[in-house]
Amino acid sequence: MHLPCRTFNETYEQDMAIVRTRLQWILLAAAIVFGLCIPLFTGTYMLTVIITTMSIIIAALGIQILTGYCGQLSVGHSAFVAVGAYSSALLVSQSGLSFWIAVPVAGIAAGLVGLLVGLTSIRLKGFYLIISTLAAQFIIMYVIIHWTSVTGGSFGMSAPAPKLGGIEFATTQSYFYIVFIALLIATYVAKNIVRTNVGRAFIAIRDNDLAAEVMGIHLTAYKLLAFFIGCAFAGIGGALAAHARGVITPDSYTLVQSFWYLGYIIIGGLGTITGVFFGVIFVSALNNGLAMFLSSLSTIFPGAGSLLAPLMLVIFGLVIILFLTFEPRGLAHRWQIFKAYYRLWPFSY
Amino acid sequence: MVSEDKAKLKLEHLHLSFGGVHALIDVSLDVREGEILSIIGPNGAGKTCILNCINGFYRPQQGNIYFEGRDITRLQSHKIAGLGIARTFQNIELFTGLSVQDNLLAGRHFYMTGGLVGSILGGVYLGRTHREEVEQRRAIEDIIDFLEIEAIRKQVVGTVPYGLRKRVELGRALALGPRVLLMDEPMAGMNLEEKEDMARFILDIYEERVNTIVLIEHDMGVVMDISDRVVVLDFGRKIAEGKPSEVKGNPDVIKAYLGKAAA
Amino acid sequence: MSVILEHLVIGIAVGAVYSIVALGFVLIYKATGVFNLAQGSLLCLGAYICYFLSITVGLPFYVSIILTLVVAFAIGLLIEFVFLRRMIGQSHLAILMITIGLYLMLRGVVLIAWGVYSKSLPSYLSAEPINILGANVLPIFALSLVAAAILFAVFILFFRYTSIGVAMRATQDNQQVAQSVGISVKRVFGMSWAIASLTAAVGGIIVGTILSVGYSLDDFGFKVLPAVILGGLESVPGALIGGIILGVVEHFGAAYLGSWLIGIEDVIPYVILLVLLLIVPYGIFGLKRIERI
Repeated sequence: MHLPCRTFNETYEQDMAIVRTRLQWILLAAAIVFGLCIPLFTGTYMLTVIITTMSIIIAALGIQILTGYCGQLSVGHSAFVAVGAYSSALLVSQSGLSFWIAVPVAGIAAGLVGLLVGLTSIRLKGFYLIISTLAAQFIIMYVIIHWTSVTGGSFGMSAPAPKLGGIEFATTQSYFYIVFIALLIATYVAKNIVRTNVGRAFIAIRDNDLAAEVMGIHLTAYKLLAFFIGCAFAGIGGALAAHARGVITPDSYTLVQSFWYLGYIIIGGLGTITGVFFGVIFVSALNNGLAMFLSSLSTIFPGAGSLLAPLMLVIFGLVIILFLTFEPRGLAHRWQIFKAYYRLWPFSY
Repeated sequence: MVSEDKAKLKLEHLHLSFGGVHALIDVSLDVREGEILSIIGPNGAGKTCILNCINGFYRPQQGNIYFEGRDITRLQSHKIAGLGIARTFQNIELFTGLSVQDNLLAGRHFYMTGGLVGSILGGVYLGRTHREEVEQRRAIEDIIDFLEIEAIRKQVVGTVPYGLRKRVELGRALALGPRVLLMDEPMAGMNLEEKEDMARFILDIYEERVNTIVLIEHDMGVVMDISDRVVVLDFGRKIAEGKPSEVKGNPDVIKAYLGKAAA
Repeated sequence: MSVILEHLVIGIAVGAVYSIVALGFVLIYKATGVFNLAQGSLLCLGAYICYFLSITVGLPFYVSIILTLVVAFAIGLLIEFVFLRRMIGQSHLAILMITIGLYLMLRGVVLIAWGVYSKSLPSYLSAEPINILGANVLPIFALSLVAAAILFAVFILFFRYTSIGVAMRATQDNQQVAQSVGISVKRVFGMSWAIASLTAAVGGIIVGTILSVGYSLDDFGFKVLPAVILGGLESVPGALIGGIILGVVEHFGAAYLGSWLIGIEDVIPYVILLVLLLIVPYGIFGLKRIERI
């Protein structure tokens, strides 16, 4: 990392800090204040989109840790998101548990299911591991779809809005703050995991598992830990999204959805936390932009709106391929280049 | 300096085979406290296999390995590392996505006990993990300084040139704070100047940091110069052992290296 | 007894279809080291092309089958040229992700072109069951058994005796080395995708006849993965045996457990596979690689 002019690291603490300069602190504070103000000037529809995007980011942070950092390719991420969503919805609507307890519990539940799937990673590597996460996707969704008495099958079930004291967070505006704060915490947690000892062990396993073991890293323990953390993030993201929507159905958690999660981190950049934000926001903007374009088009060509889903599949698939081919390090890398340029502007070189 | 009776690392009657191929046949050897032991032999003689067995990466079918009197034959690799056996590899096996500094910190893995919760809270400007990170940073800076790789500290290893990468790998092994250092061809593919640097580092390490070193090397000049003892392998068998001068004249060794006619 | 035999025969016949789909998968993996998650999309596309030629254009069915195979071959070449050519030499993981991109794209394309409602292929075979070994089986299954037998015989011989077959094996092992001994890696990539697309189209026509032609046919690519892994990723005979085991297991699962657990046959292969992989991590016919360091 390059520092701006006239800034020098004098202690290791300074060198390790994420937010280093005063300008960065100001920008961070400004971003948070701006985030808190979002509900004041956006409509309900837009706010719903933002809430969904934020909860996807939380879940995508999970797959970034598991796949991007620890190198354990997961093609079943949306099933873990589903475990979180259904656990939380069940706990609140059936057991009458408070939302504030249900969401973390849902995260732990998804993490434990992930741990179970992760057990296969002890013996399987690479392509063979895809099978176990794929199996998880199919088996988990099979259970959810066919256990009708509990989950409501393909009709889905309701996920009530949270309450705190006597206040019900029923409005989109109030719910926004819950997800926003959750996102801040999730990002903070993820960033700290990946930049300290645990994260280094994950990357070591990703880059060279044999050497990692010889250097004293307990492969099994850390792979399982990565599965637990990755799936716990998925579960919390899923639970938050579920309560935002109020109703959950199995068709939001298909294999295609799992591929989308992989796509987010490819587009954003594998192995970076900022990349997750870039990836999800980019795709979400693309999706909503396309939706608006098609709906305006449907005044001329009726039925253009029904093209949204398939067209988005084509575009998304194409974007993934283009990124892999031309910018395998994702948007996060572009951002780095931009920052490096801007830091020295107007005196580059 | 070498104490004759004290075996730091003891290999007893190791047998290792893959399917029908015998990689090691009844190999026994002692690594004594305070010596540099070189293992030499033609390609495919089983030198690296010995290191892999010590590391617990291969499991010998027969025989035992003792480290400071403790049987480590069936121990898991990471536990063996925890006991204080570090190594470098023939074809550099670094964590290519991490910076040089983080590669070394990964070597300090054992010294960090904060765990997951510690990691999560590590960003708060207090807490054990944070102190630990700073402490370990200090420890590895010492190694960075020693190996003269300050300039590439923050570079991602994937972009570092070959000779320096070998040095980073050595640094990572040292970061483990080992009591025995295993080095697999530390000078392979280096030019004369780089080889001299590396030999100097090995001797410095021996003087200051790790007093027991096992070295696999093809450069006979280096081997004869810096080792206290030499073990010669051929086709998985130990054919000679002794001081460099003794081994040099051994007819079996000459035969293994130069073929039958020369003997 | 005869009931069990009947289930077994039907299971094997269904398994033959799976093994054809698995074959295309193994072909690409064997030749290029690519784990192709878009194999099912090629199958789906093949089925739709056959539908287009036979129903929309109105060609005689047998003509449209042959034309479908030709078009599928060309599509395989085209996909390789446009999307995978640049990725030669890249990490296998990156190429895997490319095939995920392809899967999403092709599903979108199929949905845009033909919509969400499924279509049926012309009924070229009688619906009257025929008797094999005392079991009543639809003619299409008998046909798929024959098709599987022919395809497998051809490909086992192909990999063993033809020069391009050997070149493919060499390429999978090490692309750079293969290139250095004069093998055109590009040609190997192109050929293997073309042939895989062709076998997928055969599978697509058969599956499309048994079920119907719909966009979700692309899930077949994932459905046969247990067969592929079970047989070992790089084994052609393994694909055959894996496919048949899958068919039999699935059929027995549906026959004996299906009444309590609806749709259980879809997940049984995965459950069994997971348990099996924990015991034999490289499949039954796969190669165990000794890791070196």
